[in-house]
Amino acid sequence: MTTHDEVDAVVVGVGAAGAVLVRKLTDAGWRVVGLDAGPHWDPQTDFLSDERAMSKLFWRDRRVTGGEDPIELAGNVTGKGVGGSTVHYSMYALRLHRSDFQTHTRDGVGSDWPLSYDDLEPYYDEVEHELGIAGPVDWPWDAPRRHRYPYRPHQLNGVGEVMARGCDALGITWRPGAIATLSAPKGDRPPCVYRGWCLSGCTTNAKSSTLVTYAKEAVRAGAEIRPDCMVHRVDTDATGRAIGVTYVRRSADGTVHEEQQRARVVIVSAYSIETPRLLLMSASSGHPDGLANSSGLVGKGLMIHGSDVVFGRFPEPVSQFKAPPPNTITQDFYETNSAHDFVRGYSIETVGPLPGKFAQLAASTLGLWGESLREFMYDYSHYAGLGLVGETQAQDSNGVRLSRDETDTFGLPIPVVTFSYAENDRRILEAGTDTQRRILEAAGAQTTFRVSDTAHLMGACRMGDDPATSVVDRNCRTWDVPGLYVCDGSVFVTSGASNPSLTIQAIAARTADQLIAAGRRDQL
Amino acid sequence: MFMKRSRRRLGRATAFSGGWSPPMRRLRTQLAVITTASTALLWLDNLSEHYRGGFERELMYVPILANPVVAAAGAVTAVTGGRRGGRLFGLLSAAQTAIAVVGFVEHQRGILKKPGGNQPRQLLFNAWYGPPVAAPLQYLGLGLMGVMATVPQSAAAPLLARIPVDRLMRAFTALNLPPLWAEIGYLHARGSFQNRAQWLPVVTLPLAGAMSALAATSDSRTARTAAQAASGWTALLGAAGTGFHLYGLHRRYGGYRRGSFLFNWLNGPPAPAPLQMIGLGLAGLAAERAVTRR
Repeated sequence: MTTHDEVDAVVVGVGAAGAVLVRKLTDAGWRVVGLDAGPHWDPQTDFLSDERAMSKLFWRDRRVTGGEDPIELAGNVTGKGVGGSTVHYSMYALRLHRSDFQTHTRDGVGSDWPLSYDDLEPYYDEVEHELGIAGPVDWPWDAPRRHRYPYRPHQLNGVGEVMARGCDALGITWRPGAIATLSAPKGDRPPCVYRGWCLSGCTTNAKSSTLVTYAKEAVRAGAEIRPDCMVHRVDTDATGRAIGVTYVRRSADGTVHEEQQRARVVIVSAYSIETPRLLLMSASSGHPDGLANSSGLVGKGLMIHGSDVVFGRFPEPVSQFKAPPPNTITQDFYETNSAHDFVRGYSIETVGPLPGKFAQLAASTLGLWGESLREFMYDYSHYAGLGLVGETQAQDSNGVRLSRDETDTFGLPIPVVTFSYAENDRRILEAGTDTQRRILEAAGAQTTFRVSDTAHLMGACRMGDDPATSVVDRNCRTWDVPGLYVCDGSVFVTSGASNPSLTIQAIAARTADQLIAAGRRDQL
Repeated sequence: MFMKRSRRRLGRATAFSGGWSPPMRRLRTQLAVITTASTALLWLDNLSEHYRGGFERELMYVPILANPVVAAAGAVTAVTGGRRGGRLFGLLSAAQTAIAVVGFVEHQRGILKKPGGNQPRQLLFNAWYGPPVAAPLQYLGLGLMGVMATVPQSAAAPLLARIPVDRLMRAFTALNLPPLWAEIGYLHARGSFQNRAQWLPVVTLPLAGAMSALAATSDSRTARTAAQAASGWTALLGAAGTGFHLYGLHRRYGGYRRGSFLFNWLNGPPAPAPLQMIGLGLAGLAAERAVTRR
């Protein structure tokens, strides 16, 4: 087994959070190695305008999904390769609301975060600036922003106009969405040309995935990003301190061998399924239930967003495939409202599936196949879809555990993901889809149909102030294992009703600063 | 070259040249040249924008069709030093100002018609992606310049007796700059001033406008210098702006490559737009020069 010399930090998973950490730590003079299970893509040569082929961006390793409401595990939640799911995410770059950090105090549900919005605000600003987020001039929801979005909003596309029209008719506030694709040049990245293939990988680099932003800059700054490395164990020494990771590396010729990377600090940024899986797989005699799991909460409290889509058919073509599918948003229903029969709330955003995905949704929801599906698809351009981001509450029964009998190609136990909606989650789904339908009808939809869907992962290694009820502290340091950090969406305490990527990145940017400061004090 | 020839034929006074002093005749020819060139270049800009807008309304064809006729009459006037086509050019230029006013009104209506048009907070967003607010006013400016280049001496005399032509031109420049400034300002804001040079016209055009306006009230030597500086700077901005816009096209995906060029031309920084500032600046300089020679 090859053992690499000790570096200052090894980051497992170079995605939304990992790439931010690798770059920021490298900029601070650390020697950093980023390991990613997937390839290091070159968007200009590796990405095609082919929906099916581009599903290679998803994490498609074998997994089991279960519970009363099994979630979709491929495209909507995970990515494989440097950049992670930011390579194919829908680019909404939203902040959590202030209330999201205190749902227990305010609404009596969930738990309060150990961080407040004010702790994250400077990092939201920083990350938005680094990515070049294009957003509206004013953000009418939650408390006012300190700074404007660095780039101006994109124009409305067909679906955006439908949503704006419907919202205007119903008196609902809408804005062009805040999204991570450029509306004007930034450095060597060009503005978006509205190809509409964002969810299959952007070929122009206008999309601010961490692949073409943080990860690229990290490599330029001297970091090493090692692709095709599947980490399966966090190594600890006799004192219980994390000293590195062991992984299997797939070479260009297809051969696989095991390597070890030593590091002063190990940061796991593999998202809400693979992060708990790795901690659980790293169980040893000293940590029989998995690393950092004295609370028993590793893998528990997984949250998602109820993201049912309602499609409406319009007499005139809407061309839902044109321009970035994330386009227009309302957060009028985000906060707890005593008039509702639920607490917390939801956001409504436009979607724009490409024909393959749309056909798949229609086929599975409406039971169409063959001739009937083909008839239906002739009208593809006439449909506009609105998606929901419905908050869910963390439940310990939802989560990730290791399969007892099934293993993957590396012989590692596969993850079993269980999810069931709580009653409040379901009420949000019902109310949200009803609002989506009303907006479409107010805009002139002739018929509508609803598609069940889920998106995003949050939680499963939550942060907190008490080692008994959380896995990591407010700085993402695991309570149990010195030198081991968890920094990604799995540290979320509540899900909010905002797409999580920007918050993941803000937490990563903050964690990097905390690490740099701790390093100076020699308290890593 | 044609200047010399026109001087040789002074004897053959026409409605166009009749009664004008030689420097004024030269100025009028220069104005005709500048107006014609600016109109032709505006056509390119106008065509690109209306094509991008898919000629959604038939009215959008009007300036596209009218412009070449005006430009052709202007070209004849310019080339013949005003001996031919002057009157027609003048009439067409007057008509063009009417088209400009209709266009201006229609552009505002187009913006207000967009979703959220009843909410003041959405106005800027709708203007960013709607028909450009002040663009039709460029036709108004060029129309007036066409009239200035062709108006008979008898009609212009009462006005020119009270206000000399250089001061008149300074006022004209001062009036042209605010809409130009507003348009550049809000469109550069859409690009979020990603290149610091985008601030240049936004910061300096008001100064140029103010200098021209002040200079319009005085005959002093200082006023002349200020007006020359303002016009010279406006022309310089136009040249630099064109350069930056051409560079901006290069920065877009695909840049000047054949498959991408048309798309980038239509959606990128409008390359012919800053050229209008060169025309305005040169017209101002020409007016100052005409009076120096008197």
